[in-house]
Order: sequence, then structure tokens, then C-alpha cells
Amino acid sequence: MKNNNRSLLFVAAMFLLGGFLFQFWPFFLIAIVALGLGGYYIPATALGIVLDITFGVPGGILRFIWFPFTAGALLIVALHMASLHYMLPRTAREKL
Amino acid sequence: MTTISPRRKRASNSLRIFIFLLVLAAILAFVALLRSPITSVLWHLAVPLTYARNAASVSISNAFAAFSSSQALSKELRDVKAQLLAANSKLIDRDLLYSENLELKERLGRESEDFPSVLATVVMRPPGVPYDTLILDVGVQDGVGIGDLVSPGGSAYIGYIAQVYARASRVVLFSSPEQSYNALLLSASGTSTLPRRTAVSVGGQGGGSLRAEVPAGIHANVGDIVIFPSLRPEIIAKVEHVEERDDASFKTIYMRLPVNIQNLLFVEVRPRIVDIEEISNEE
Repeated sequence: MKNNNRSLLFVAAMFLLGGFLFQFWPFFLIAIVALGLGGYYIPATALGIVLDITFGVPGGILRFIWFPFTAGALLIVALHMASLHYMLPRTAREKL
Repeated sequence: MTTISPRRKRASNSLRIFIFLLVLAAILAFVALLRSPITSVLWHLAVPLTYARNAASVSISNAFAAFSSSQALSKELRDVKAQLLAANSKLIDRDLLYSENLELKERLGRESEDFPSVLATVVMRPPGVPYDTLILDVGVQDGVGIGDLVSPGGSAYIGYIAQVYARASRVVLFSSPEQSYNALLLSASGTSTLPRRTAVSVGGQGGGSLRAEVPAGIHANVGDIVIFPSLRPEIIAKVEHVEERDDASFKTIYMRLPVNIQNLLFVEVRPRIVDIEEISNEE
């Protein structure tokens, strides 16, 4: 585990706590994004599921998604995985 | 030394992704089937936590209040007292008119049903929860049912119960996006003491605001109220802005809920199934 990943985990935890204490749900969304970008795919998806269970189904057209936070988490995970193909691997610096 | 070929590594990654998606699909299917009981358990655990959070935030705000200057506090107190005085006089007037209204309806043979109401604490409110909803600490065990109206007090209403759990319930506010309701716009008439009643279709816009379109000839002014067509007055919104263009055949009315939802601490839940287009589609 790299240090910058650990700091993203800390950021996610802080946003989760902040979202609960200051009653501001976008903080939960930021926590999901931080976890997804930190490579914590399973915690990001699990948090999405928990938030979907807690907040219920949205109204209007979005009700067909059923799990909007989980869908958002999966999108972040997919974006992060796709972006890894365009980045140097961890050992690349040594080779260079 | 063991070496792993890139092809084998890629195949292993694909397998891991496939297993992850398979497990996720199984979990989502399980949650979808048992969503209501799982939510009920979750809120059963979360409600005491929110009580603790609310108590902590009150103590913190009280601690910071001590730093406010006495001059500012006394000015605020004077303003609040003046507002209270004005509100009290209006309330006396309102109570008198309301009782007179009910008496007249009774004399005409239309007895309005008297439903008991359940007092509830607002556990979470926007922006703590998304989709313009509230979470209340009353549920099936307290006699709350889907479709019940939620009132901050008096004749004002702000939403309806969309989901009920054992000890909690979810309220969808009338301002929730993409929901529409049939209502009446009561606008002041220039010639008569009786207000003009216009049937309007009110749609939620989110964040406590609502919107309706009426023909350009209809009178609508800031401060007019919007009610549900019912024997008892049920105020759901107040007109905040009217947008009118000279060449347009319609004018747009922007409204707000009768109270500020951010300051709501308690509400009353009154049994009445409200006619809402979206309600049958919810979960």
C-alpha cells in the first residue's frame, strides 16, 4: 500500500464523518470518490450500497437506477481501472 | 525465480473482476429483495446515533453562542420578540377564521373528519439526506402509513410518507424533483373579498422550491398561497416569484414550501392518502 493511497483512505474517513456530523450528503459522495481513486474498490462499492439502503430510491427518472450511489461507485472504480492503463507501473521508474 | 507472463496476469485480473461483479450482483439482488427490512434495521441502529449527533451540535452551538456580543444578542432578542408578537396576533386571527370555516362547513352538512396526528422528530433533513426527503423517528409501530401527510403544524403541509419502517419513516417533500400534484392557487381578487381559485399542476424542483405554469390571464401575485383541494385548508406552498413575458401565453409561478425545512425539528403525521402521480411508482 502506498502512502498517498493511505492518505486518500484518511480523506474518505474524514468526509464520511463530516457528512454525518455536519449533515451534508455530498460529503458521502466525495468519500466514495476518494475510496475509488485510492484503489479501495470493495470499500467504495460497499459504502455505495450502504448509502443506497439508507437514503432509499430517488424520485423521477432516477428511480429506475435503484442503486444510484452504488452505480456512482462502480463508475469511479471503472474510471480508475481504465486510467491505470495510461499510467506508469510502480516499478517503471527503476527501469527508466 | 518465477515469472508471470503478461497474458496470464491479464487473465487473472479478468477473473478477479468477473468474480467481483458476480458477488456484487448477488449482493444487489439480495438487497433489492429485502430492501425494506434491511433499511428498517439500519435506521433502528442509526436513529440513536443521530440523536447523539443532534445533542452534540446543540451543545457546540450553545458554546459558540457565548462568544457573541451582548449588543448583537439583545438586538436579536428584540427582533425575535417583535416577530413573535406579530405572529401571535396573526395566529389568533387565523384560529378564529379556521373555527368559523369549519363551523360553516358543518352547518352545510359537510363534516370534516378529525384524524389523530402523530408527533415525530425529524432525524435527518436536507442537505443531510438527498432527493429532498426527511427521515422521521416514527414508523409502523406508531401507526404511520404510506401516503400520510406530514405537517410542520397548523394547516401547512410539506410532504407525504413514502416509505415506512418499524421505527422510522421516509418523507418525500412536495418540492422533490419530478413529482407533480393537483392543487389550487388562491390569488387575491381586486373586486371581491373572496380569493380566486385556479386549478394548477404544481411540480417539485428540489431544495424546497416548486413551479407551476398558468395561462397569462390568470392573476398570480407574490404571497399567494397554493392549497390541496380539500375540506380542510391544506397549504402546500407560497408564491415567491411570478415570471411573465409580454409575448408569452403562459406565466411561470415559482413557489416555496410554507416552512424552512432546514430548521424543522418536529412534525406531525396525519393520516390522509394524498393524490400524487409518483406515489404508486415508489419502491
